[in-house]
Amino acid sequence: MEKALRLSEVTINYHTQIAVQNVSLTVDQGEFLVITGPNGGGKSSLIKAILSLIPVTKGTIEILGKQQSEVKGKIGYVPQQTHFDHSFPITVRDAILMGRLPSKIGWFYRYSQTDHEVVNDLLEQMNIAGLAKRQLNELSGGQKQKVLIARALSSKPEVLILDEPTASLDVKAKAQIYDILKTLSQSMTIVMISHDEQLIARYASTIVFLNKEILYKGTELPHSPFNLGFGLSSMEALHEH
Amino acid sequence: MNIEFTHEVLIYAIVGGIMASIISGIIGIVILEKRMVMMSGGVAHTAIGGMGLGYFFNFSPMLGAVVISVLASLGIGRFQRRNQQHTDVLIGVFWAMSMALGVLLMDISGQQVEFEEYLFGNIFSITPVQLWIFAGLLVLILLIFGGFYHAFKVYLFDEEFATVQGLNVRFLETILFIVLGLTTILLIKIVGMLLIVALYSAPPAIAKKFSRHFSTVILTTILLNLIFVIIGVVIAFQLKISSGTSIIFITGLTYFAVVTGEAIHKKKKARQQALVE
Repeated sequence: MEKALRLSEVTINYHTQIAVQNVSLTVDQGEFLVITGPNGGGKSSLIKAILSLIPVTKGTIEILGKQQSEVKGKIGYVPQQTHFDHSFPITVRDAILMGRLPSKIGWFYRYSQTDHEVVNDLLEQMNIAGLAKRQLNELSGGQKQKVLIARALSSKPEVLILDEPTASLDVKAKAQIYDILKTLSQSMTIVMISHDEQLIARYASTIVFLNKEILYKGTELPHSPFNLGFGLSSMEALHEH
Repeated sequence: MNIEFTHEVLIYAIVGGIMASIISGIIGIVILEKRMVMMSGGVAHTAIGGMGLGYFFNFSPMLGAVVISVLASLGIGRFQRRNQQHTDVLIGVFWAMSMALGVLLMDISGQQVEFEEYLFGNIFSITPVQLWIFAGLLVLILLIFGGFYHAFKVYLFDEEFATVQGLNVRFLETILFIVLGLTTILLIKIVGMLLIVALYSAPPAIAKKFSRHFSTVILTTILLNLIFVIIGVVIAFQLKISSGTSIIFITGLTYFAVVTGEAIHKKKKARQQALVE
């Protein structure tokens, strides 16, 4: 079976700084991989490079055995909530429908009945059917996150990529999101950035610790960096180890 | 103003105003969502440079303004994409340099140019030919933004997601910048380059407060523009003043009234809630 994701010696420069250096990583299909590490450690840059939002300076990235440009519809993306304008006038249903928009869009394109049915199913699946007509800016953080996940799922992706989906959520909302992702991981590959130490340990099948380069990859949380927090000293300690 | 205020002039002004209201209603919400208000002001002022070129090389100043505005719009947009933190500096430089160049070229060419009309607009000097040009631009904008409505909606809401979806974001952006350049020239005729920023930003900002859907924000913005422009034109016609000042005064006063009303309403609501608790 093709790897869901294959990164070979990837280096990413952000302006004049090195964001990610010489990262090689493979992700099997069906894996629930969580990337964690300190702020400024290159996690978001790596995700953006996988999504072709920023270029790689060196190295190659393959998704499902193909070039990134060939698998556009097969990747779902859930950005950070801080990323978009929360006052944008849009309902929950309309936000999810966006994921159904084809890349080659025709003139005067209209969503089909199937598109609406897919959205209905996702509203049920995410338990937000009652919010369909509400505006996005009226929702709580956890509800918004469910909408963004539903939007990403509406294109029926094989790989779901999430950038800190539980940042600024309360404990209960975080657990709900992780439960949803755990269920989803039975039918798709998940690659996610997170800082939730305890939840990562419980839900992820693989954990990667990134600080410009991969310092750890395994199925359990390593003790030293997490128990000490994400400070520089712990990074160095792990690196030396 | 050396204009004879006849009924024919008033009709041309109102027809032009209606078309300008629809066009700026559509472009205004795009400008507001993409936070390009300052950029649109910069593009408007670069038009002076284009006019100067027209006067100096003896071709239509409006053609010069159109070409330079579209180029400035594309140029600033591209720079904004690459160096997000320095855009305001670039806009400032474009703004001043282009105006300086325009004035210099007009001075050298020895032309007597009535700046007031460009700075504050004069809807009463619209000619039938210009109305046809406006109509052409309106049809073009309706075809572009109506035709790619859903794509523009995704692009405005979440550009990164649009890119991941595989939408041609660069194409949408290029169209947007070209249309912005063209629209800005049209609106210079109506409200002038000094006041254009208010017409681009205030009506969509008001509309956003009262609308739940993207489509209704656009329609409300168009409706507000129509009200502001028509009332402004009638007042300017009666008082024989420049159309830009009257339109922008009404727009600005309405905006401040809405913002103040909203603040009072919020305060009242918070006080009532505190009493209940």
